[in-house]
Order: sequence, then structure tokens, then C-alpha cells
Amino acid sequence: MSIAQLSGVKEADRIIVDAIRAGDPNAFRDLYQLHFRRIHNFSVRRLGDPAEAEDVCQEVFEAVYSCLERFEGKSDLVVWIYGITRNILNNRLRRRGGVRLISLEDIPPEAAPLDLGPEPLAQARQALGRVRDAIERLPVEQKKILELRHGKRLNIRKIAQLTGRSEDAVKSSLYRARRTLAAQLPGERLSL
Amino acid sequence: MRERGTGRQAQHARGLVKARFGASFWDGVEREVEALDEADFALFLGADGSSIEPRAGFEGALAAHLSGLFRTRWSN
Repeated sequence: MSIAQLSGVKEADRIIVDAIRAGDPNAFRDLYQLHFRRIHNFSVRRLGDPAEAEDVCQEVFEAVYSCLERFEGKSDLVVWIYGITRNILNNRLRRRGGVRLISLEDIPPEAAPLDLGPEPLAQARQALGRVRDAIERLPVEQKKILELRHGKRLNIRKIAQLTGRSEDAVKSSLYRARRTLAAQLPGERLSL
Repeated sequence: MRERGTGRQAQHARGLVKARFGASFWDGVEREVEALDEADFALFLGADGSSIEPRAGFEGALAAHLSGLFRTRWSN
């Protein structure tokens, strides 16, 4: 997506949020129609329970409409709504019994399924070695930021403070590092 | 669907809705946004094109419920 298109998205977000804050019911309806299917279907897939997914839909929209003043436009509106949806899904899955939605980046490096046989385990070790080698070849700054983000699990703000760089610069370095890794590891199923 | 009522009941319900989304809830949202998993986000964006269909009448019923919430909030 180009910068011009991104600006358009931001502008569209601002218009719709301003209209809702001004009490425009049409804007409210537009936002609902734009995101209802996305939230509903994503939740059904994650929960495997259509009835519970309906509760999630209700909860997401209540959070959006009751707390719209919290949306500051730092991210796109759809990213904010995605964050709300994931958080609600995480909370529900946690209540089900300790299961949580996680990204691959949240899996510690030592984690491995317990029932791996010798051959898959060897393959996994080889894959891990390839990933480590690729990380070693990254430029020093990108490697450092990647390690802070995924090794130390620090958030962007904290990394920016520690490295003396702006949050945008940190995000940019992370993006470049992930892109380089994805290019160097085409056969690996990395969540980049 | 959980009904919220009107008038004083709705005001009370609105307060309950706000209380449900407290600081820890928004901390969780912030964490999810900051740790945005691009592959998962792409699944979210594309989910509206999947073949899953909501239960008949649910989309309209939720819209009506939220409209009530919306009217109550901005009419006071």
C-alpha cells in the first residue's frame, strides 16, 4: 500500500471517528457494516463456537462504541479494532483453560511439541540453525533490535528508549530485519 | 444477546459497559497492537471474504442493540 493510500486510510478513519463522536448514526452503521463480518468470521475460526463468537462480536462493538475517545489515530482504525478483537479472544480462551492466542514470535526458542519423533526433531533443529545463522548475518543494529523485541520481548517504546532511536525508526529496522529473514529463509514458516 | 434497556436502566448499563473495559483491558489491546502479527492481521482482514455465515438474524439484532446503545450515549 502506498503512502498516499495509507494517508487516505488515516483520513477515512478520522472522518468516520469524528462523525461517530459527533453523534452521526449513519457513520455508526457504516463502521458496523464494514467490520461485522470480519470480526464475526475471525472469531468463529478462533473459537470454533458460533454462539461464543456472537458474544465476542457484541463485546468488540461495545468496546469500540463505548470507548471511541480512546482511539487516538496512532494506528489505523482497523488495527485498533483487531487489537480489541484479539484481546477479547485471548481473555475468553484463557478462561477456557489456559489457552491463549499467540503469535509465533511469542513462542520461546526452547519450546517444542513433546511428541516429536527423532526425524522431525532433527529437521526442527536444522531449521532453527538456519534461522540463527540468518539472524547472525543481519546488520548489527537490526540484529540488536530484533533481539530486544523477540529475545527480551520488549515493546517498541522501550526499545526506542534503550537505543535512543525513534519508535518509527525501530519499527522500520524490525520491518527490514523481518523482510531480510523472510527472503533468506523462503522455506521456513516464519510469522514475519 | 444481552439487552441493555432504556432510560435510567440504559444509563446504568452504559456505566457497566464502561466498567467492563477498564485499564487492564486497554493494556491488553495496546499489547496486541504493538505486537502486531502481520500474518494473523492478514487473516483478520481477509476473514470477511470467508464462507462463514452468521446465524440468521444475528447481524441485524446486534445492529439494533448497538443502535440503542449509540442513541442513549449521544442523546444525553
